[in-house]
Amino acid sequence: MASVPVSHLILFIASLVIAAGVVGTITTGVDRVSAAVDDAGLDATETLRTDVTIISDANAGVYNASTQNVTLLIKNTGTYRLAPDGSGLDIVFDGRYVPPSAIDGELVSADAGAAWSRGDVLRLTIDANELDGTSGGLDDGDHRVYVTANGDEELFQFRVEGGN
Amino acid sequence: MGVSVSASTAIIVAGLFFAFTTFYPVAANGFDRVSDAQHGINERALERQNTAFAVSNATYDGGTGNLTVTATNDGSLGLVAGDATLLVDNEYVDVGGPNATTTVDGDGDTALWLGGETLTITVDESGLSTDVGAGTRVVLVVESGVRDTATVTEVSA
Repeated sequence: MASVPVSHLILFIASLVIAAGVVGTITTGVDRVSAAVDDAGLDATETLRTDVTIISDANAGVYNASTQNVTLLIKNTGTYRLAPDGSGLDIVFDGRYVPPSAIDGELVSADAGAAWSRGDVLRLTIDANELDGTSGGLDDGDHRVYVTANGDEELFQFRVEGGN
Repeated sequence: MGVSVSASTAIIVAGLFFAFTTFYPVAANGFDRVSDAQHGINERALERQNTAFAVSNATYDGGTGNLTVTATNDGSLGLVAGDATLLVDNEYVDVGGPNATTTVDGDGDTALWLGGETLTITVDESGLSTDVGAGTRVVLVVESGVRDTATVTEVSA
């Protein structure tokens, strides 16, 4: 054993320790990347499977001048279940973001407590007075509602005529 | 000195091997899920392509208070009568509910609305909160989102 100097032994052990440290760091890093790739895959799947369609007829009137509410019926035509109170939807009305307090969503094609799954219809009520810059209801003329759900965008345009 | 280099290299290579073994299934699963979802999108697009129907007429009988909507399936995809959504003046009507009856080519028991067949939906106006009359807009939507509209004409009893 005296033919191998102690310094060789020390260096040998040190290099093994360093190699083990490198492997540990690599494994931790790869673990984190795996978790992130998994999440990214789930996010991508959610975006791909979500599809909503606004089925309200613009000609039949969506604006109620007495309650000053805009009522839209939205059908889930994708395969991803969305929140049954419409909280997963982002609404932009005439270019202005509608806060969640101004929106009320109710599932009309299923009982309360069910999820908003494929084929179900949600009734979305937007309070026109809670929008920025609107008072006394909607002005006459053309209006646009832009609904986004998990990346799926839908546009609905309608006209208000006859005065408030 | 030579042995320590080889030993360290061996340890690092083994570590890389185990890291790859951990990473590969995750990446493969993610890829599978995303490509499944993309296949689903293509399938639904093909379904929509093959769906075609037209609302032939919508009549309201003032005497009986019944609104009758007839639609013909002109496409090659078989539809389900119970999955159709009917809106009367933007009010949701539950086609399978107590106020409405659906018949396909006169058969009230079948739920299938196949190519070439005519679906007739009869809605009792008393169950609706809107008044139905001439000029009321009716929308019929099927499960894939394809829809057609019609205007109600009044038929005197």
